[in-house]
Amino acid sequence: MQFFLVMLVLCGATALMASPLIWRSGAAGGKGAEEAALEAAKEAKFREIRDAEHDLRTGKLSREDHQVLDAALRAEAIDLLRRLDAVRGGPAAT
Amino acid sequence: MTLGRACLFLALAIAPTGAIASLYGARAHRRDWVAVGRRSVYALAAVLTVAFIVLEAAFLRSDFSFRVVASHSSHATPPFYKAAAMWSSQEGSLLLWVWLLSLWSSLVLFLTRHRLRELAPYATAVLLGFATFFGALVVFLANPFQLLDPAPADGVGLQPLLRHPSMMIHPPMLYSGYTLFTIPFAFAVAALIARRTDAAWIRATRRFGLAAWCFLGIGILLGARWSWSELGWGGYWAWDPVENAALMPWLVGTAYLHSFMVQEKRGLLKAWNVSLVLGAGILAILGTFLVRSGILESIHAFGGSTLGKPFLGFIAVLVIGSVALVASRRDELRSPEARSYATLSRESIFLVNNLLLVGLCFVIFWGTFFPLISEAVTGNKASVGPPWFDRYTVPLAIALVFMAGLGPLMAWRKTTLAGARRSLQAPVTVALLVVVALLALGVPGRLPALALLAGTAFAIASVVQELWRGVALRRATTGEAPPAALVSVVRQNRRRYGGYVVHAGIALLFMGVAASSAFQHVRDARLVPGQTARIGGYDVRYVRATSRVAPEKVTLGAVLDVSRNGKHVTTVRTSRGYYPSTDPTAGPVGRYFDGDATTEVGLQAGLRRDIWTAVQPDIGAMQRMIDGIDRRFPLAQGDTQGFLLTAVAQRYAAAPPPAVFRLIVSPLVEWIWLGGIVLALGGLIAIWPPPAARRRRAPASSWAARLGRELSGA
Amino acid sequence: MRRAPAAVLVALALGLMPAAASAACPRASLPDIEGQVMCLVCGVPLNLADSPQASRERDFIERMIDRCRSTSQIKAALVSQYGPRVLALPDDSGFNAAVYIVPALMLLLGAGGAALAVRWWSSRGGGAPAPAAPALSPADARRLEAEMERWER
Repeated sequence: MQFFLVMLVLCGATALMASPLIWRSGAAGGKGAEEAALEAAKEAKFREIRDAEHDLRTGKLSREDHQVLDAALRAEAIDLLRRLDAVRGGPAAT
Repeated sequence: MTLGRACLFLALAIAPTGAIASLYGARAHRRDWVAVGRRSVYALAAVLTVAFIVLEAAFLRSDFSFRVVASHSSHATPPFYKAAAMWSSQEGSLLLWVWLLSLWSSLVLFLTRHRLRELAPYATAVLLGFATFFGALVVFLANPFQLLDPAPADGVGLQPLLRHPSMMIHPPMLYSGYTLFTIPFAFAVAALIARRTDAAWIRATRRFGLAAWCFLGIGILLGARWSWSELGWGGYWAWDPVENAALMPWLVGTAYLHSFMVQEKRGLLKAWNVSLVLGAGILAILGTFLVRSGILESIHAFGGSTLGKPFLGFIAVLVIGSVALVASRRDELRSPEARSYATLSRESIFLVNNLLLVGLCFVIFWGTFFPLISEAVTGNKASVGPPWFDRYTVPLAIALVFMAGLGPLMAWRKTTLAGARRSLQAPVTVALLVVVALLALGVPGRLPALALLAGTAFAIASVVQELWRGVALRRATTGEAPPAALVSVVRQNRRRYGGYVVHAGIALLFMGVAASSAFQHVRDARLVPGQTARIGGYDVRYVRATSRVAPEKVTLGAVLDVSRNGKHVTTVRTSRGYYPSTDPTAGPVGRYFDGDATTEVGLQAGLRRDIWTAVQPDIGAMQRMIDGIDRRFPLAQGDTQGFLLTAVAQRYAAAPPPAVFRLIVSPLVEWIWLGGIVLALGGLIAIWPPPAARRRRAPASSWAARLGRELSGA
Repeated sequence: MRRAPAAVLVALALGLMPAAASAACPRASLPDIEGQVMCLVCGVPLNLADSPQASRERDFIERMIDRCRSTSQIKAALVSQYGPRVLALPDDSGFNAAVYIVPALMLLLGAGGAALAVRWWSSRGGGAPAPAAPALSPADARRLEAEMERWER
């Protein structure tokens, strides 16, 4: 019984590990590092824009400061979106 | 070969194979080999799960053919504790460690399987490297599947001190925290190797860092709670090396959870963040090492000491490797795109908070290891105890609590002076009012405690104010009722408000710490039934002695009546349980009083104060009687032994000698645990993923229009 | 071994104190002292220790308390009986001074570093108003809002 169970676990583990070599799925897809980095930066930028709005509305940031900051953040965000377009549409990043 | 043992050997084969496959896949750009590496982690988790179940089943079945079961459990051990007995052993706890590591690693690699293509293989290799080390420990040095032939009829039993409900979850919580810290560690190493030091790896592992922080925090607090309600010394924190070992990665983790936001927003602190993550991972391994090696004298002396050298070697490799990696990637860790910020900004507060947290960690590290350092240098081991730690940690804790209140009040990048003044007004007023109220109430003016309490009031007021502001803004735009608005506001930005809730939890916790350590009353009283001792305004009367004989222990205790100004408050029972020693030369009755003894604390917990009592029966007064019985019936066993023990116990209850009681009235100590619950809740809010299907809200133009309306109406 | 005669002297001296002193007994407390003293054999604070050595130290302290010794007198007596290691707060002589100096030094260095970092980064234009970025084109502004809506916090 023990032997049978040991063999079962052994075969199961080996099959699980070796499966990618046996059944090659080929195009695994997945994001490249460049895209992941830009995604992270985009998300951070969006969050920053919303945080700045929150800081303005809770009175921590003056309206003048917010205007300058918001314009800069939005320009940076659009730049990130364009770069993301380039990465997604263009050749895979290295 | 048994199934459990085979699983361990298999795990030890899988881990390095998978690591090599991952590295080969990364180097040769072979995705199939990278997948082999990832699936090796899944396979590892599967075989270790089988091993874990086999061992747990052996404990539950009381299969004493397993050496570890025979030495840590017994037929008389209650089923609940049989299940937990596994991690009271060196072997079982290391298996738990590597099993948890495999589970968390599987989870993170599954979640990132379509992302971080360049990093995942290296991270997989690092995680499997950890698994290889711990796998080797459980296979070669602390194998939980060693067998005894013949199997003994009964086991030794679980160490009495560990028979407490929180011991069921305290070690798994701590180990989850430790193993989860290896995940950001692995991805940080991967990011450095792959020269991808942008925020992507932090983003992918942020939740794991947060979960590590939460689990470790809860684990630490459960340990403190255990100490308070189970150990008979009347405290919850002793600056014990093992406590310190858990606190250090937690502090560094706290620092990194804050400073990574500065990297995310400003592009700054890349090298600092990566160092913090590596440091937290190494400190987590160090924590495991301290609890399992017994290298430092500790109350947690449950571990053996055969693991010292391999652990030290492993930690040395981690430290040297990390330093070398960071140094070799210093160009990638520069921040050319860094954006600046004003001195009065949340970034500055985070920088100060990082200094305080890392400073606190260093202080604790230094105090913990100084005895070893001084012994190495001078040959004499210096004693570094709680008074030393208090001297350094109290001022740092006060500053930290104030920072916890100040952070949420500051805007990112730049706070205007007028804005800061407006935000600070209410919290500062509340803090001052609290100090005035405490002084007016006649609370003794102990400066550190007052400062800490003022800090907690400041932090709580600041969090409440921020929540209130958020709710008010929400209500102004949607007209929702306050509770619904609160839920919406928190849901909209879980990270921010989860963090604020954590700050409130920390403040509550420190409120409990400050009040209970500065204003608690402690006294020892020697009483006979009928006598009363007075403490902190309460009268504690020793009503009667109690005794009980069970197969695994003899319990001698007391019933205490607590009253205040003649009015009954509560009745508490405290006792001391005596477990038989295994010394074969000890007599049938005397052996019970020569072995381990544990205190059952009589605790009346309350939001205002805890009344804590512990009895120390005077066994010396009964020694003549015990010796006499042992001399007369040296070979008594079974029923005869039980009869003799019952006679002694009944004699104690009928004519008890004076017993020494430690009596404590500790204000607000319950708030430490409540603060812990709030803290965990905040952590959960921050970890909780956003809804999978992103909801569509009002169209973009309406958001802009709404904001415009609000601003013009502000 | 040299400590033994000193301990005897201290014990004698304490024992010969006039009985009248007990009228104004300072009543040191065992729980208080336990937190400031180590169990020498077990290496943990005395209040946590449960060994024969801990019992001996406790008995010693209790005897001193019964003789109306103040906390500092009891600690001094403990040092002459068991050596300086019995105190949980190490002395600051010789190498042991490092236990006090090093953390203070590190904290000072850290504070200096953090102050420099704040000044350096904030001097890079954080305080002064940055030049306003050009406004986005209406198409870009619309796209950004739409993307942010989709991202949804």
